[in-house]
Amino acid sequence: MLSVEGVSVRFAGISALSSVSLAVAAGERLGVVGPNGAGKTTLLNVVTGLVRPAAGAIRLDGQTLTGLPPDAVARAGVARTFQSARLFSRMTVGENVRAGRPLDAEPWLRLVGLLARRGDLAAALTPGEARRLELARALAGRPRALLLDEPCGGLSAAETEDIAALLERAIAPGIITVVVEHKLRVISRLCERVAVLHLGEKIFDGPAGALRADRRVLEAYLGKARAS
Amino acid sequence: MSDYAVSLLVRIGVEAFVALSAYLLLVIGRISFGQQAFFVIGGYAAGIATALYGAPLAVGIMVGAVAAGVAGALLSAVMAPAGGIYFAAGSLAFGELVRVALLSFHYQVPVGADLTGPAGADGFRGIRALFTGGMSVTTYMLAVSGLLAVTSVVIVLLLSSRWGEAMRMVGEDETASASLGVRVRRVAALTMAGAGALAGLGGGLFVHYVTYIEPGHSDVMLGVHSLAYAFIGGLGTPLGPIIGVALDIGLLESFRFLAGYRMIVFGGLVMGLLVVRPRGLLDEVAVHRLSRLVAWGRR
Repeated sequence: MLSVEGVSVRFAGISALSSVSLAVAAGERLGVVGPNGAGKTTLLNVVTGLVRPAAGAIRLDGQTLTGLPPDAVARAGVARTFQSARLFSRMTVGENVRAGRPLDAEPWLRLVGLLARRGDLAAALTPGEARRLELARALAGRPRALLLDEPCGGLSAAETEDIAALLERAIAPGIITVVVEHKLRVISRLCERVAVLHLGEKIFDGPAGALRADRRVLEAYLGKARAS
Repeated sequence: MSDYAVSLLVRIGVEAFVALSAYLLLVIGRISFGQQAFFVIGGYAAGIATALYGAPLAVGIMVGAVAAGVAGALLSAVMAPAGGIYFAAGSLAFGELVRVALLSFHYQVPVGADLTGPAGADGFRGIRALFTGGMSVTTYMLAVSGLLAVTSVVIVLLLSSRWGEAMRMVGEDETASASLGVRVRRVAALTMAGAGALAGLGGGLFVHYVTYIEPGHSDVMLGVHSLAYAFIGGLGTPLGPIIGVALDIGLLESFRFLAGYRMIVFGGLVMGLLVVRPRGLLDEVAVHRLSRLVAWGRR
């Protein structure tokens, strides 16, 4: 269980997250959506230790992660991807998956369809391949919690379809998964449950199917006049 | 081999150690203008060990490397979290701190009929372990070259190991590295200590060849050159900085007609290369292509 309990984050007096609470069980996939600036990436950053919360607590299977540095959070079993794929461009595809860890890159590269490119420099990959490599790198550490920040961001329709299909088959049962994504079709396909953030507050947390009927969500996306 | 050629090769070997130390820091994304400080710390410590306490030459040189490594570790306690311009400025300040401190460093003890040891601005003379030990300068040059070759192989192996992967990751993206469990500060601190030891090794080798050292040897230009060597030769392999040293000292210095213009040619070479090949002649892409070519040739 990954639990975020009353977490608040402020940047120079501006509230990025206001007392946000979420709990994601083992094997569950939670989608997090919201307009730009809603606090989605900040939520992932605070869980992974890149940002310190002003208040609240973060726990993974009862272990407190609050205040731990990012490397300790990673070693505790939390893996993530970034909004723009952050690969080590001067290292090979295989080295990117190993990332200094004692593991065999081959099965993970086979899983994401990049085995033939294991010896290429990561800089040579297309955006879609870069996303797949970043996913392989995150999965290779066998995390207990996987946080994906816009895994289909900036990809074409065909690449988005590829990544969504890959995520469906690659994420092992039992992994806690949080997917931040603007493409609602991807969220509906991958996640049973969705949380909506708006201006740093959680305004919805429920089944993906109920999302479009929620008045506060419609107002956040469309404005009060159009929502009514 | 002429004395001039031997002297040139020793100088290339010695400066290659400082260039390799700057290179290691560049691998983890730190630009240092202060490696000359570790060079002189190593030189003074090695000189004190052999000239004042009678340590054998090899032991003295190792003492120099260890002393500079310890200095690197101490500096890393303050500087390991710093990156970018802050690390560059901090390393420059450290270099100047050491140079000025050596101007006031007096530690002379009677050795035979004379007082020997560091004497502030007058430097430290009479470090004669190489010559009293009976080793010829040609043998010494070969020993320096051999040590450099072994060091280069060790660095190549290090950089292809898991630890080396972590170093290269830190050099590219500290946030992504930390998010994969890499202890960025620890990697930076140990690399700073190792880089200090390498520069100190160069200092110990240098001081026994020229028999003296002075605070002026901690001039910032040595640090600037060691950086430039890595940028000229390339950051894709430890051979890069060695090629950089050989190009500068071996080529430019040995063409006597260039003597007066050496710094102009060198500066122009660095500027031109940074525009055309920002990561040097043997950058990561070039090294990757070469290694693939070699692998293809073996099939």
